[in-house]
Amino acid sequence: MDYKKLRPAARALKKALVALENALAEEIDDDVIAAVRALDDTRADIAAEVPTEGSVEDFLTGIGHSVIEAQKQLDKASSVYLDRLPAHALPASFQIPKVTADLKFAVRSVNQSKVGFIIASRSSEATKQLEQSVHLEIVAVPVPADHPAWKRAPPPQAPAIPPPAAATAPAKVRSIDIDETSIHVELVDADDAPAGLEVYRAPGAPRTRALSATAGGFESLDAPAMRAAAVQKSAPAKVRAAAKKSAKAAGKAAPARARPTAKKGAKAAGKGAPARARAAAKKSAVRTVATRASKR
Amino acid sequence: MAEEPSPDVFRMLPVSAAATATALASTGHAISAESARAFALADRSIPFFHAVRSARVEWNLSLSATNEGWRWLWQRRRSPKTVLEARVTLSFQPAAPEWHDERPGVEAWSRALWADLGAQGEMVVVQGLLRSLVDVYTEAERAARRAWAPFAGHESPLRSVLAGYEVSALSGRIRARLDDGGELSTSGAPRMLEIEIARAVDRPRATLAVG
Repeated sequence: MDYKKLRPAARALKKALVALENALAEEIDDDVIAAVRALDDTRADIAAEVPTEGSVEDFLTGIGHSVIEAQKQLDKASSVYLDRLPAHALPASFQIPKVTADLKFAVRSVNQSKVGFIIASRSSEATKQLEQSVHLEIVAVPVPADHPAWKRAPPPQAPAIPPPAAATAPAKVRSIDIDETSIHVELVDADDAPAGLEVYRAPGAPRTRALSATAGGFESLDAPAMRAAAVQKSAPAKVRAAAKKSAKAAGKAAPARARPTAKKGAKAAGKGAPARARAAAKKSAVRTVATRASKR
Repeated sequence: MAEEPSPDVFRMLPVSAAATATALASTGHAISAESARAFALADRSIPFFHAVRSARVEWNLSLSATNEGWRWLWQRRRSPKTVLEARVTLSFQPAAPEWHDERPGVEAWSRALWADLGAQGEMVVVQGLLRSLVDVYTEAERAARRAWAPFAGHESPLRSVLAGYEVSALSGRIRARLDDGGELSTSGAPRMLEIEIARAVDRPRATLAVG
């Protein structure tokens, strides 16, 4: 211990004690408080100046407590972070994953002996040196899966998948991120639908239909996407059916004699065109093909 | 009186190894126990504990000596020669929970180890190092078990993942100047020796290389 460093502290201690003694003699409260404060300051000064002697165990224990204290501060920071978590961010807690510490020290001892005369001498010397280092690695490890700690704080799970939207609701078609893969969608009869394919029944549809979607050998059973595609595809079909029906009705409403006449008239209109007009139409078609070829 | 170089530098290794093992065990338990308390207070989503994963102790020793005869005043003084350089590394790793009472005794291991190494080493210095390594191994193991024993009955989450520390590897490398009798000398040719002791399933395995 270096006692030279203790002299100023001892002088300060003596001064503080004298001040305390005077204050107590005069029974002045303010002076007593001031003296006590001076004593506290002196104690802190002494603690700062006295060199501490530590062992390897103190070193290792100090590292451990430092890690734990740092982790406690991180826990508080994590708590604040979770409280102020934005809606789009995932909840997370922060850990110290790894801490390494090295302690190195060396001991050197020299033994020397010498026998000397005026013109001759004999000596021997042996030096032993020992360097020691302690390397320590502290890691954060999760407890085993069957540990009761997990029951108190269950491990994070994947977010729940919402149920598929109703067919009447506006369907959202999710984009399928498949490069250079053709996706073929077609409507098939429910009786011919492969096993496992969800059947979509359009409201008021006369026949039950199923949607089959294949993408490069991968069969998709994505119900919302299929419903969306089915709605888009079934709508023109209905329109076509309605148009065909009205066309039939219109045809039936015409007189029986007029129907073959109209049919014949249409054919005759094609045949009855002038020869010049037919030749002009043919020439125009040839020109169109030639223009396309030149564009290519 | 001349100072003869001697390989007694190894004598303090077992003591140092035992002290380190003791400190490691108490520190490891203190860290984990404190971490468990901190976990109980904090509301963490994932239970984490801090534990000492590994520890390594390394000793580097050197012995330099001059042992000169009578020297006239006008003769130059010879500088000390390094007659021995040694490095011993001792590594600890966490022991499995089934560590207790299922392994053969450390004494039996050290006897078998010494039988293996002793049969390979012939020189005095080599035997000194071997003996020291076995002592280091024995003392470190014994100290680790002894230091962890008081915590064995404690109910702690730590016990499910850690049950103490054990010696995982021990190696020694020595470069020495030896005379014809295998003693340390300031004039002998330097020779290299490497010894490695590694943990096996049922007992330590020792390899020795002399060059």
